[in-house]
Amino acid sequence: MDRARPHARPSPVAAALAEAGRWGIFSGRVLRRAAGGPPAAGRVIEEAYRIGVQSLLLVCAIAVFIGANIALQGYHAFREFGGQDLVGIFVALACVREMGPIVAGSMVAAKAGTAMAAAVATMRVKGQIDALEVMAVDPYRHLVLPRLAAAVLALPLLVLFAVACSVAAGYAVAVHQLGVSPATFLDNVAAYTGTRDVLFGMAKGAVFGVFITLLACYQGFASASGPEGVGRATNRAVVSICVVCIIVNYLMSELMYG
Amino acid sequence: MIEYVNVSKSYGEVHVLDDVSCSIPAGRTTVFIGPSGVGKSVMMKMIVGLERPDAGRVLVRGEEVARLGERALYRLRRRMGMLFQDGALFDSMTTGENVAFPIRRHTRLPEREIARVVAEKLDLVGMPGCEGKMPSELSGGMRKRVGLARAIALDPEIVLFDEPTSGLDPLTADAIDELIVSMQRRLGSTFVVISHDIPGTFRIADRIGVLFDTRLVAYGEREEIRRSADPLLVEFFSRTI
Amino acid sequence: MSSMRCIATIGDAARFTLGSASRALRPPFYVHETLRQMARVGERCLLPVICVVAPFGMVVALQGLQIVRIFGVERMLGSILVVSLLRELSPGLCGIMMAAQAGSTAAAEIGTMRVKEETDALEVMAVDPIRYLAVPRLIALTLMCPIVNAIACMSGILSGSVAAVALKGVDRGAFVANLFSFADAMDVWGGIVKTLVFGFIIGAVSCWCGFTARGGAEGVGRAANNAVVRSIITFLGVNYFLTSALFRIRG
Repeated sequence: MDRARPHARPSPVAAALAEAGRWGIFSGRVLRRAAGGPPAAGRVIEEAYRIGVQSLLLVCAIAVFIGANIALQGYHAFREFGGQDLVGIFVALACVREMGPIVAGSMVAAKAGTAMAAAVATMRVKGQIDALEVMAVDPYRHLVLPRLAAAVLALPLLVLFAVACSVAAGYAVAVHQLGVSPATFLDNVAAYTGTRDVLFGMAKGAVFGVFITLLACYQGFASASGPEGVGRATNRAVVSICVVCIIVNYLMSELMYG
Repeated sequence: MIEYVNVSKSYGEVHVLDDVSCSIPAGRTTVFIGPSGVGKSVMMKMIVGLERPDAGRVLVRGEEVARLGERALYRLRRRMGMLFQDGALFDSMTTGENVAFPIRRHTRLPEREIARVVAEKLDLVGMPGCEGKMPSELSGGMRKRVGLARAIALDPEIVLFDEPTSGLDPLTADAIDELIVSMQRRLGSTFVVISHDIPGTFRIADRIGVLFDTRLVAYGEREEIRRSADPLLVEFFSRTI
Repeated sequence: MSSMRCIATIGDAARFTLGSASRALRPPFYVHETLRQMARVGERCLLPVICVVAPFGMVVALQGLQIVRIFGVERMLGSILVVSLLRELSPGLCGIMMAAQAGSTAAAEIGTMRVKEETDALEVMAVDPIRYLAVPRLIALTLMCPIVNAIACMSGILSGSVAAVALKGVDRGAFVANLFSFADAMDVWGGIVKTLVFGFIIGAVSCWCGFTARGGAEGVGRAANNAVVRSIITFLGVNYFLTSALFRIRG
């Protein structure tokens, strides 16, 4: 419903801080509910299936383009000092450690995250969240928790798909378009990445899942009335998720590989 | 049953309620009427704790709503039902699932029993056998009826109506008014309605409160209000009919 | 979606794009509206794009350092940072964020007008809604994308340099001296061409998603969602071919 907005326009920094504070309060409420017991398994599976199915094709398609591009770029960059045959190392490190989680995270943000924000915002605008409260059903528990658990389950799996697709595409471009020998490429991939990197990538995915859900649902809950409100909530959700995930990604990379 | 004590509310610079006090009796239909934008909705939302007064208190069954903790508030809300303006049905569920939703959440009834209660409530609002329909397939009047069925699913003591006839054609509006009257007789619960439809108000109300310019300018039995010689009321009623 | 419907959808989008592009080249021009949209796109996208490209510059420095150490060419870290940002990362990330911010806004705004029948009202008042709503946004996105990208790219190089030199202790002299040893004018022109194309794709896809919005608040949410997803997938697909073509020109 209509939230009271101050009339004088505050400075952008103050507004951003206030927004971050409101998001923090929202997240605190959700996490306190999470401590009160897990959400219904049926709803979680339903939401996880939705997130997975909504995003899988997109994640794989984008991962193929990114992997192909990384191979192209790596090949040409390393040719400058005669290392073009080692493009496998570049593809492996870039895809497994960084691009796989980022592709999965940003595409889930773009597809499932915006869908989440739009769905919750629509419920807010149509008074359905108020209806939940009046029926004495906790909307945080009923709407946010299942999505949160689902995203944390689904994202690591999507990261696996993204890693597999991008490395495969990098292999295809390196071997068929650029003429790198298949054995060299595969040896390089195997030598410089291991299970640890894949697990770290999946951990990144799970953390992205938490931020995607909390930011998307927050924007949905805070949506202003009318179709404009829903559109704006969707827009704010995807932008804030991308920015936060990239910053979180840097911090996690620094922690894991720094 | 419900009591407002010196309640005020404003959003930024805009005052919507100014020092409103009144007491709503149990087991009757009370209608608050007034032009749009005078805080009628806000007044109603204070009863269920969706809005808090800036000053003053709102008491339901002797408890101050704004002071209740989460648990107590949810306990209180289980005894209330509310019909939202456009029904606020969940788009992702069928009509039957919408009506069953509060029952599933708050009771441990077996599925067969739930189905029976849902059918009974839908029958009561004049929509028998439409459990399988999606909200998007229903007309505005039908959505209100289903919303009412959902609101009374748990046999609440208090039922709130937010503009039950707004956005409906006159015939459908009359039918909804009749439904409210017959429902109140059958259930004997406390009905609180906000409306800007004057003829409808005189049809359904036992008591009427008139909100004008952020203040409650008149509050009393229906006939008192109808016969009142207060020039403000006379003008208000004659202008809009 | 069945394949026939998919093809029909793509055909519809292509027709819409051609229609808007041809209107953009013929008068009457809504110059003032176009400038207003350009200012809005710049104002709203610059910060988010920098917020994404700058941390990414730091990631490149961090991971790149491990790769150049494998080859024993630590002094080359600066050049790898600049080349990767200039050629690929900055345009790509800039495109994604502009799609997320400006693309979804355009789709949501036009979609809102669509579901509220405001576009019909425009037509009744004899104003061509495509010319008035879509063309200024299309031009604004196409022209602003390279400008935002240029600023973001500099921020990425700066933050990557800070990360490498200040946090990771790479030798500053060697790092700075080698910053631009791989990059050349072709990379700069390539980035400009890429971002012009990305901006055009984002603008066309988003406005089209807005114009096809149906059915109330959900419809607007769906349009904003579709705008982001469809424009990203289209321009990343095109990007692969652009990159290949640019390397071919370079030889």
